[in-house]
Amino acid sequence: MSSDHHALPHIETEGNFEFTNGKFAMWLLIVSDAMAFIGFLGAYMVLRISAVDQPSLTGMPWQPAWSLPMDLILTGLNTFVLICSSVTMVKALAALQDGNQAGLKKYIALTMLGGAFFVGFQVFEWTHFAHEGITIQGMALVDLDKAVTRSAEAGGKLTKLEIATQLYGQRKMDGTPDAPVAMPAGKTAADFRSGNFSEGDYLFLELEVRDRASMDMRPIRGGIIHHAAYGVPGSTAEPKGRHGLELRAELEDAEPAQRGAIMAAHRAAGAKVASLFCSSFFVLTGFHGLHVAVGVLYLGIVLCRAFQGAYTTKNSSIIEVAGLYWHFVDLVWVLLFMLIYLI
Amino acid sequence: MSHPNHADAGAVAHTHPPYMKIFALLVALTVIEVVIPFAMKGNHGLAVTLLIAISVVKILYIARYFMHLKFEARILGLVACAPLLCASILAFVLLWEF
Repeated sequence: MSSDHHALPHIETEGNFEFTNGKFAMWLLIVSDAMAFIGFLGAYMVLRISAVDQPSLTGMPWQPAWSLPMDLILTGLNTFVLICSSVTMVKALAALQDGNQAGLKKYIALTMLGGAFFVGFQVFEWTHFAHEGITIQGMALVDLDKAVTRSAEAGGKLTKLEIATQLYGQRKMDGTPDAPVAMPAGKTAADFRSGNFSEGDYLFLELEVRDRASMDMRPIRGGIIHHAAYGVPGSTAEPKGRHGLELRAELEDAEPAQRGAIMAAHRAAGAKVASLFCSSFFVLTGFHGLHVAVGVLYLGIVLCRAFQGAYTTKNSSIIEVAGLYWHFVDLVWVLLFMLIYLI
Repeated sequence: MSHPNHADAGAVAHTHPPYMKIFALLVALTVIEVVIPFAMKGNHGLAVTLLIAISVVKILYIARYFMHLKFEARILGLVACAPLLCASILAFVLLWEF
């Protein structure tokens, strides 16, 4: 090397990692993509930290833990598959650097397989969530008795009253002279404590919200779904849903015996309660899953080119650049898995 | 840095980073991560701290070895750290809210 190129530093490398323009461009892509993920993750963490246990007018609830059909072991296995695909990716590069063309094709094909499996599992998980009534729009109204059963299956010890409180907000049960509460016909506070009530009965009670400024308990007429609509967002069709106040009026007008049927009708119509969990979970895993899917397509193109004999030890950096993208997607999943599933 | 690898007849010998050792480490850390929520139900604070620490270790190994940052020019490492600066600003601004 002539001495007039003193500006170029000598770079120590292990193996033969070249610093090419393509690699620099991929790093720029990764960095900007990372910022998009950081934005989503930041939103996720703020929503999660600021969520309250119960719905109120001042705060939105997180999803009740018992209602999340997450399987940590299965997702852990899926994480394992993604790590394996990262290893096969570096193995593909190592094979090419060693002049092993067959190894290159084999390992790239295995990496694609791992990625496809990962996306496939996520489709399965989303389908499972949708089956449980959990979609990006929110959580389907759950039958109270079913919710109690599910909570017990999940190892919880919540009573029917506690579940109703989690789902529909804290309500007043005892009438006092200052804040009279109309009890549903034939029901007393004792009935509610013993679980002898229907969903409609519970919704008929006054919703109580603690005013943040004055810390006064003030009854507010309204109810569930007060922060949720269940029309399709962005659609021009007439929304099918009702807000809490309308629902309350409907329940008030109805015969006490009809209240359960009214709630069942709303459930059947696809009523959803807005949920911070739903909004952030599907955005984060969807954005990441899209990246994995794009990565599989990317590797598919690389594999086709490999079969044409396009890659040699001289241009192995093309494989390395593809690998950078793949490892970045793996790296993001390390964060998502920890923040969404483990914490 | 020697490790048993499939020998390719006639190929130019290169030393590769110890990929399989890092793979084993990543899998082991993932297993520990999955166990933590079950094992430390009562101590949420410690569990969260441990989980974050393990994730940072995993990310460092992926970035340094699989993405070769350990062997690259310093400038690439600096580029890779740029989002961290932005993330810190975001975290600072968001924490201000609480």
